[in-house]
Amino acid sequence: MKKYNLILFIIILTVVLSCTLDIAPPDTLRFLLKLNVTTKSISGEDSTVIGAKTIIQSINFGDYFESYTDSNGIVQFPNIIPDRYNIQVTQRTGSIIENNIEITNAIINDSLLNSAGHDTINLHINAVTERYNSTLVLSEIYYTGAIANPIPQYFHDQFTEIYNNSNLTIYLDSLLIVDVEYGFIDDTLIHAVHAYMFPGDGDDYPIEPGELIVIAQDAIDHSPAPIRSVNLLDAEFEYYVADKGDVDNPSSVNMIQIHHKYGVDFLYSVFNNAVLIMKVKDPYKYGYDEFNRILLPKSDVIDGVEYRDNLSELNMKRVDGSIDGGLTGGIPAYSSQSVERYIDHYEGGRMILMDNNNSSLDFHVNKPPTPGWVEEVSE
Amino acid sequence: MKKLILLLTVMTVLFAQMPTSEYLYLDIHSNLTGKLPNGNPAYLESKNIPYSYAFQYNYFDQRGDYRRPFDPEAKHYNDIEVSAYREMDNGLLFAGRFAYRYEQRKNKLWLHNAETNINVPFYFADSTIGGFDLNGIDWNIIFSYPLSKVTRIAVDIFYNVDEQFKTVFPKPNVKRNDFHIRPAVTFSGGKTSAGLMVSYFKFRENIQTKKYSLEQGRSPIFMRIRGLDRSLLTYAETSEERLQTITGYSFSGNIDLGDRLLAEMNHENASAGIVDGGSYPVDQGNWDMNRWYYRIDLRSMATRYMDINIFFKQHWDKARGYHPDLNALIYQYGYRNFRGGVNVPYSSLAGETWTSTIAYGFEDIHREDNLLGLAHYIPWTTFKVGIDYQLIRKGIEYSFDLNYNNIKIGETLEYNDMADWYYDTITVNEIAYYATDREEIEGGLKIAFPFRGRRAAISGTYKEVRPINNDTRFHETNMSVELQF
Repeated sequence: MKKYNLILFIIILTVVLSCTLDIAPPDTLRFLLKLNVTTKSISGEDSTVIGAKTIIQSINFGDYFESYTDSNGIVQFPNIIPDRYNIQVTQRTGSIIENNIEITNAIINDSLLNSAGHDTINLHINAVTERYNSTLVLSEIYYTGAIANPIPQYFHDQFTEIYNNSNLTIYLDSLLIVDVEYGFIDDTLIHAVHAYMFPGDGDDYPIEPGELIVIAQDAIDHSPAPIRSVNLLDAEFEYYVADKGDVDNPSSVNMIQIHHKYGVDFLYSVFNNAVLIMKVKDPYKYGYDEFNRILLPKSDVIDGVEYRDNLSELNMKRVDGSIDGGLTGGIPAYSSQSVERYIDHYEGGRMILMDNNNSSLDFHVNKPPTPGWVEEVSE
Repeated sequence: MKKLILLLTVMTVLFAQMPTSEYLYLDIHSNLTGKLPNGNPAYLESKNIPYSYAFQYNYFDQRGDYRRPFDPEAKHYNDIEVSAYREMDNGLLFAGRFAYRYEQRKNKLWLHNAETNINVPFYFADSTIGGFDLNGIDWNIIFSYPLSKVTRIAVDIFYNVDEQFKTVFPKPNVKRNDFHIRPAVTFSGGKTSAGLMVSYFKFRENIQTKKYSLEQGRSPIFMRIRGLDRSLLTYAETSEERLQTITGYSFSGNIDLGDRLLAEMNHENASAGIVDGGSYPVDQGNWDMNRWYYRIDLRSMATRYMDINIFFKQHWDKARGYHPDLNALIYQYGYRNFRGGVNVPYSSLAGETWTSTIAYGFEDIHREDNLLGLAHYIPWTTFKVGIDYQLIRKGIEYSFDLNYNNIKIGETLEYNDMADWYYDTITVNEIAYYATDREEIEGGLKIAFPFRGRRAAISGTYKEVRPINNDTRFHETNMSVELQF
């Protein structure tokens, strides 16, 4: 019986050891992110940035948080997961009408935030404050193409809408609309795949304050079955690619082809791209890059908007903060959705569209697209 | 011979246990050493060769609605195998097995990986539900050689290659390539014996999705599952590729003191490296798993016809998962299993044996996501009774067994304050699966008989898992036909 006693003892001991386990709340790598935002004002003084909208986006997890800096220029985000993050800070002061806008912007792209066992990460951000003029703006871009209903991959209904946000008449003559190749964000030249110019001798195509104009890929009615998309018969302008057998609506003014690297039409990518309005004295001055993209000076950009299906990919941007400090979209291809500016406020019955030079803040998603008018949507 | 049958019977009843090796997650059902003490190939010798060669067909079926989220709705498994034993004049004993498998998995949620091991949830998946078809071959050879009357050495080599396709877009193609080698040695003298064995294994799983093109008009969402929540999502524009390589080693030993004591132990270490991207690999994290197992049987003869064996065994696992970029521990898993009981073999007539077993056990699972701050703990107890009957009469061998297992859940703990959609969709259901009071009923029947100068065997088992407070069920059926020469 001695051996049975030994076994029983071991059994009991093992059971006791097995059944005792203290389960404590789990350790976590989450942390508190504390951002302290300062800037050098136009007058050159160092100051904290109060009330600035601050957005953090995690690249891998797609988390999106926004908040505002407090009276000490500090904004806090609790329970943040370690990851690569994009951080944006934006603040606008002044009036578009009075032409005294100051924009404070800061962008940190693809920064790994890892607490490494600490509860808090403190980060100091130096923002840049600049004067800004909002004149001619891209008010709506419909790039996704139509829902397959039943025709798949239909993109000929794309359009771009331009709005005069200023209090002066502006002439569209000779302005360019271009799309931007990826990979040249730090270059002083824009590498454009397509470039189309408004016709006119300088005073033929005015756009009055508060006026919208639409440039269609094909200025036809895309609304009947089987496409069931937008009607662009009233578009003022259209991209016409004569040598590719493109549709030509004689009542819409044709844009002048300056450069067309490929495609049956001026197709903006249905996934991601940046669209710019430019005023370039001589579009051929800088020639072409080695892959036949036309080169245009970045300093001639009037307005630009960058869109992408995955908004957390700020690190994949094509244009820098001087053109667009953010990224709009976040919508799938072929979804019959557009991106459109918010209405900021009305002055004397005229709408002023939001322009922080940051499409993350200035744009919302529109379904269905609204060529020729702006949807009233609260921010 | 009678003693050997008795030993094998006891082993069959007692060794029905939780997986103690990464090898078992390959889900390849047959192997040549299953009935040898501690699975040690050096115990294979001329006196326990069952036949010269044999053909076998196996059918395995699993289905039911009581299952984990990533388990398929149904699983069918067919294999045809041929196995052979031959002893050379110099005493070298050769055993070999070659099998072809065809498997179907019906309506499997998201997961591309071939098998579900929620202990370390580092998976690749997409947003579709679909079936998988698998074709594969595996082979297994053993060389066993007597160095002396006491000492015998052996090596067991296993190799598997299989390929499976998901039947719906993006149609991942999963190729597995698995290698396992186990050198071993045994020492025998009279009624006592001892064995030592080491192993090395490398299991590779390569997953490739069909190349995505705009013309297909579809945009699958790919998921990189890493831990209990917040799988990483990507919206594909191109094809995806994942390579998982699990390597490991183990060592085990056993000692059999005849009518007095049987003891065995095993330790295994496995580690996995996971990369995505094919030619330009991107690290996706890694994990390691340590498993320990031991069992002790104390035997005594109560009467001339009846033995009383007291046994207990313990098995515990620990796994850790690491982030690919943060160089940090992000996941921990622990599992413990203790079981003790009594086993009573009784022989009334020549060729007739009854074996009764009663056992009580304690188990628990603890999973912790240290990236996100989530955890849960589930303890349970098991009460198992079983009976096994064997009869050999007029050259016909009958065997029958019946087991009942009652699983009662203890007080569970869950920390889920910061849970998100994946946790609510998958992890909550995994917890519910384990934290369910349930009964398991299992029965088996086998008849082996002479057939046209040869020997044939037909066998089948059925198992049903029955949760106590709901109507869901899970069924397992296994049938086998064998012709021995």
